[in-house]
This record gives sequence, C-alpha cells and structure tokens, in this order.
Amino acid sequence: MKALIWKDLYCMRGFLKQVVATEAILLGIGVTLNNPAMIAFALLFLSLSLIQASMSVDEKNRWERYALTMPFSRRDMVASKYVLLTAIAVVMGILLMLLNMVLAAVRGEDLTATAAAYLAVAAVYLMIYEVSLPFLYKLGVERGRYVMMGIMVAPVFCVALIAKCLPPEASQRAAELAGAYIWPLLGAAVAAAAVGMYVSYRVSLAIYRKKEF
Amino acid sequence: MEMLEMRGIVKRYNRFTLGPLDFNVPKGAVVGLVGENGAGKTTLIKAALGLITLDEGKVLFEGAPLEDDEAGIKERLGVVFEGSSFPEELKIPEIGRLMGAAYRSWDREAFAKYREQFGLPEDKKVKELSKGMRMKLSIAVALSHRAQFLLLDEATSGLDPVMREELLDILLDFMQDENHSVLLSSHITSDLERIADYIAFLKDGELVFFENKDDLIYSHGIVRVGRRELEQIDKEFLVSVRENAYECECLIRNARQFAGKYPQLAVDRASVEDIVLFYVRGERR
Repeated sequence: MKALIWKDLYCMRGFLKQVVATEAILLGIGVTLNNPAMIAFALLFLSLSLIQASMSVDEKNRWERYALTMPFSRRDMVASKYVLLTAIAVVMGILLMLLNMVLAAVRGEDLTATAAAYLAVAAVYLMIYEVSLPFLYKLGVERGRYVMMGIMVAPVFCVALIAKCLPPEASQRAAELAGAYIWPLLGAAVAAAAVGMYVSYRVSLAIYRKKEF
Repeated sequence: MEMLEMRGIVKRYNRFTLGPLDFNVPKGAVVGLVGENGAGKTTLIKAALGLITLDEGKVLFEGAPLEDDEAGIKERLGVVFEGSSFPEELKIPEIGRLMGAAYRSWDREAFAKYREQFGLPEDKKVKELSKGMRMKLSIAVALSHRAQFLLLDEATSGLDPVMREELLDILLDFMQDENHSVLLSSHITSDLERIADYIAFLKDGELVFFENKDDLIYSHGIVRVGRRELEQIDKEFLVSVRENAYECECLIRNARQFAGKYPQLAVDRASVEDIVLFYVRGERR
C-alpha cells in the first residue's frame, strides 16, 4: 500500500503547486479583507480535493486495471485513498491550527472561536468526502463529481432553510447554545467524522470489490 | 503442471459471452492467443487476472486460486496491456522507485539494464513518450521483478519491426528458464509463429482450437481446386473453403493423409495466419 500512496503523492505534485499558488493569492486577499477564515476554508477545500484529483488521474491512465495485477488487493486500493484522505485532513488540521496561532498572535485575538470554527469546517468537509467517495467509486469521477457538488450544496441549503424558518430568537438561542457547548459539539463532530470514515470505507470497498476493469 | 488453468469459465455481457471454455498455459510454454478484435482475447486475460468477475468457472495459478495468496501470486506475474497504464506525470526513475516499493523481488539493476537497452530516457515523463516507448517501459517493468509468468496483451502491436524482434528475443531468453511461461495475445501472427509453443484461437468468445503450434502447422495445408474437384474431396479433411471466380481454396486437416489419398492435388504449407484467416473468413465445412 505504501507504493500506492507514493504514486498518489508523485502524481499530485503539480496539483499541489497549484494549491499553494492559490492559497498564496487567497492569503493576500484574506489579509487585505481582514478575513483569515477565507484562507482556511479554501485551504481545506482544495487540499481534500486532491483525493478526487488522484482518482481522476487513476481513471484517465487506467491505472487501477494495471495496479490490480501488481501485488495489491482491492482492499489495498481503497484503503490507500482513505489513508491519504485522513493524512491530508490531519496535516491540514495542524497547518490551520498553526496559522490560527500566528494570526491570533499578530492580531492579539482569542484563539478559541476561530480554532473551533476551523475544526468544525474540517469535520464537515471530511464528512462531505466520506459521503462522496462511495459515489466516486460507483459512478466514476466524472459523474460522481455532480453528486459530490450536490452533497456539498445540500447541507448549506438545509442550514440556510432552517435558519430562515426559525424565529430570530430561536436562531439566536441556538447560536448561544452552540457557543456554550462548542467543545462537546466539536468532539461529537470529530467522532462522527471518524465513524463516517469507517462506514464510508466499508461501503467503498463493497462497491470496489464488484467493479470490473 | 499448469502455470494457469481456467476451468469452465463463462463471462456474460449484454451482447457478448466468453466461454464456456477451458484454457491452460503449461509451465515452460509460450501460448499465443489469436482472434479478431472483439473475439474475447482481452476479456480472457482480464478473467485470468481477476479484473472481471466470472459468471461461471474458476481460475488457478499453479493449482491455487488467486484468493489463496493474492499478493504472492501477483508477485510472480508480469503484465503488459496495450497502451501504458502508468501515471503520465511520472518520470521513468520514479516508476522504478514505485515498483521497488510495490514488488519484493524488484531488481533495480535489471530495470536499469532494460532502460538502457530500450533507450528509455530518464528525464522524460510518461506522457512525453511515444506509444512504442510506453510499451517498452511496460515490458521493462514486467521483466524487472523476476516474474515467472508474463501476460502480454497486444504487447507487440505498437512496436516497430526492430523492437518487435528485440522483444521476441527477450521473451525467448526469458523462456530459457523452464519454470517460466508466457501468454501473448497478438494480431501479428508471425510473432506468435516465431515464439509460441501453443496457439489458441478465439472466435466470438469461443475457443475454436488450442493446439501445439507445430502440430497445427504440419497437420493443416492449403489446396486449390475447382468446384467439381471440391465435391470429390472427403468432407472429413475439409476445415474451411474460400471461393473466388476461378477456384476454391481449401484449408484441410490431416495434410499428410490427404496427400496420400489425393496425390494429384498439391498441398501448400499453411501458416498460422492462413489458418486463422480460413477460420474467420472461410466457409466452414
């Protein structure tokens, strides 16, 4: 499996450069607009999309057909993508915390609120990928991408709808409650992301075992 | 002992069915797989490698199913598909490193030797290589991890005649070890005629014949006769007939017996290509 991860890292060098360049631009914009959260969210989004990019490269080169003739099982093939997804999420989480600390020190602000926001967004992004990956395996990257867009838009739409339907005082009360229980809620989100990762992996593996090349 | 044994395999698609058929690759033998486009050659190779799910039958490598020791069995396989399957952004040394991490038996020196022999540039990415060069790279990789069984799907088709000749020499060299085997599918029957011990012919998903190459060539012959003479030939000898305005060309079996029975008719030697073409285009008798 090590070789499969190596392969993905080799293949994503070009894409990684694009991510760094985009982030540098966004950092400039974020600092100018005094909105560092923008960089953080974009960084997360772009980084996690590396998985999708690597699957697209595999599909284009018919790599999986070849890799399955090498000493890899179908389990190795699927597990390598999930290991990579987790690794990217962990590395990005650490980077975001460092970024947060630097910005907080420079701006003299409290770390807690932004750190929690970053973690929450990371958990949501991760969950979006956990739901999307089985679709990408089932439908292929091109068709799976549309499903993924739907999965990304759906939670935002739902939250906006709920916020609109609730009376203003209820929305405010919910925000206060979330603020009061932010760390337990975050813990629950991270736990949900971890359980989701396992469930997603099992579903993807079941799909992949039936796939023909 | 069989290197590959496929027993009663069937794979059904909407408009095509492979099998039911039995197919073997003996140890120490080169099996050439021929057939038209869409005859099922690639499907058969994919079935052997577990890349598609069979509807019926089983596949054994040296008597064991792939599931028994998947990594161990695949370690001993070298596979070349038509066109390269390597990620296009990788350079050749990177592919070497990747394979080194994948195969326990990866031989860096052998890879370097083949890289040099095939003239594969170190500084180029896969996407910058020509079709022939990509094929050479696939072959270099297949030969560099001490595989015992090579499966090559149309491996010679993208190569120039010199490189094809070189590849055939390499395969012959590979076959010096009696534990090695090769399954080679190709449209270029002259390549198979040169190196194969057995010829398997697939047509519309069915295995028409699987024969020792020398037996196949020496037992068949081509006879040119008029329509009246054709009527007098014992049907047991006739495999296939192609008619034109002037004569009938017949592919016959048991050529020696035929020559004894019909000494007045000249029997020409049939190449593998002739035999295949008669089976595909001729009228079966």
